[in-house]
Amino acid sequence: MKSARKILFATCSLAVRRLAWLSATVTVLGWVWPAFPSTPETAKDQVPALKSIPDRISAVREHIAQDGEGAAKTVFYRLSQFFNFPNFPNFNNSNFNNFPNFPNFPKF
Amino acid sequence: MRTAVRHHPSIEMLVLQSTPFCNLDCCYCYLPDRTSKRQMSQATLERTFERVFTSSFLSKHLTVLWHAGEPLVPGVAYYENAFATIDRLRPQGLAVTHSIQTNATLLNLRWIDFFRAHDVRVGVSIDGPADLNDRSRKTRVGGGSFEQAMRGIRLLQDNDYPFHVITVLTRESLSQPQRLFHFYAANGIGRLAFNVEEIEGVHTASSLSGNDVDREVREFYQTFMTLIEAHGAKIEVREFVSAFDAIANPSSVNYGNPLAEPLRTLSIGVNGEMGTFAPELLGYASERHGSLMFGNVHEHEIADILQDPRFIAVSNEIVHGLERCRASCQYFSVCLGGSPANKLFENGSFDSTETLFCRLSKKAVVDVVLAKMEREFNLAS
Repeated sequence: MKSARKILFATCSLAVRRLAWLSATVTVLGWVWPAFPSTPETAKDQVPALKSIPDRISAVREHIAQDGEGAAKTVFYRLSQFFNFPNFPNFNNSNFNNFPNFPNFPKF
Repeated sequence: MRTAVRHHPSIEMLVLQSTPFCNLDCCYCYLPDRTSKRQMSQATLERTFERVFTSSFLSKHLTVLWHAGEPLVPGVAYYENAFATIDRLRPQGLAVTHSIQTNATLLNLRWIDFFRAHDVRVGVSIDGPADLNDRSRKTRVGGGSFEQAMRGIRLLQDNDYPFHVITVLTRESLSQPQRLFHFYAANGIGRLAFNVEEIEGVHTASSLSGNDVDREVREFYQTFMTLIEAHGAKIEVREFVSAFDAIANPSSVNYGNPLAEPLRTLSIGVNGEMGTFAPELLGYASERHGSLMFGNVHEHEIADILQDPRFIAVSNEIVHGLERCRASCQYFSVCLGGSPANKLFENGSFDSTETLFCRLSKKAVVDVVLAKMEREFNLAS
């Protein structure tokens, strides 16, 4: 009878210890788990915050400034040609003299 | 001296309403008096230039824009007299450039000779292919104006006279960038400006009001830009170049906002009434301020405008509106506060902020051009 009580006590005490470990493990995992995506699809959905318009303009201007000098301004030169803006930054030039309000009078 | 003007203003553009009449009756027109056949008298014209040329607000160059009605209606002889008067009164050292925005339906060879003799800059209003154009740009009896306008364009081209085109974008045209592009390319139109159909004055509703229009306008600009690139077409689009300048050139901000600064644009109505800011305000009043004309050339000097209590109230309200734009809009550095006239017509006050015009003509264009520049520089937005 005494040994049966001992066996029962040992069994209960083991169960309690294992339950304690299990609880601790679950708690720790609960802290760590939210830092990771639950599924690959969720990870795809997470997009970085959009940059503001002023930040984007600043970034473009920085690249224009770093785009070399004169004819070496290749990207900027290509853009200027594309927009038909050949003599930038001397904007008020004869290339545009048929736009009476160009470019700063946007409506009439 | 009470004034809302912070810096010494300079008259850069003088808008003259030789007549409020237009031989067309476009459905989006904002002119309240376009059935009136009055013409600016030579006396009013002379007094206008006496006032302007003796004012302290002149710089070395003045653009005179004949607008706010169909300017060809008064005829070549009218302008021969007018230009002679202007030339007689013009101070030495002042360069005067004349511009005309016309529907081109009344053009003939005599006009072209006159333009050439005086180096007049010509803008033609046409909205693209016949069906798109004629949907809005109608004759007085309700017919289409396309054939007449194209006859004028052909006359300019056959006589090698340069011109640019202004096209009003309506809901219908937004879905047809390809047709518009091919129209300009096929007809040798290389300089182009898009005006969105605005809510202004007597035109109180725009086909562009409503859901999804911002996306549609961006798609239109994007597709049009792609078509220019794909075809290697030399088509200058005012909106694209303006946005490109504003984004690329930090010093472009120094030019300011001519639509929001007093006297940079001076408008003179057919009877000599004086206005400033935008010519769309000619003939209009606001509930808060009353008439938006600030004097008459027959009674007042240009400087008197700056002392007019209504002008001061309007100018202060515009400044407040600009400050609100500055505080609330991330496009401010490339827009500088937009158009006060649109703020009034759309929102009821000059000190309001966002308008249909700024969403579709400023923000959407900046978005498309900025994205193009980012792609070229391999920058992810």
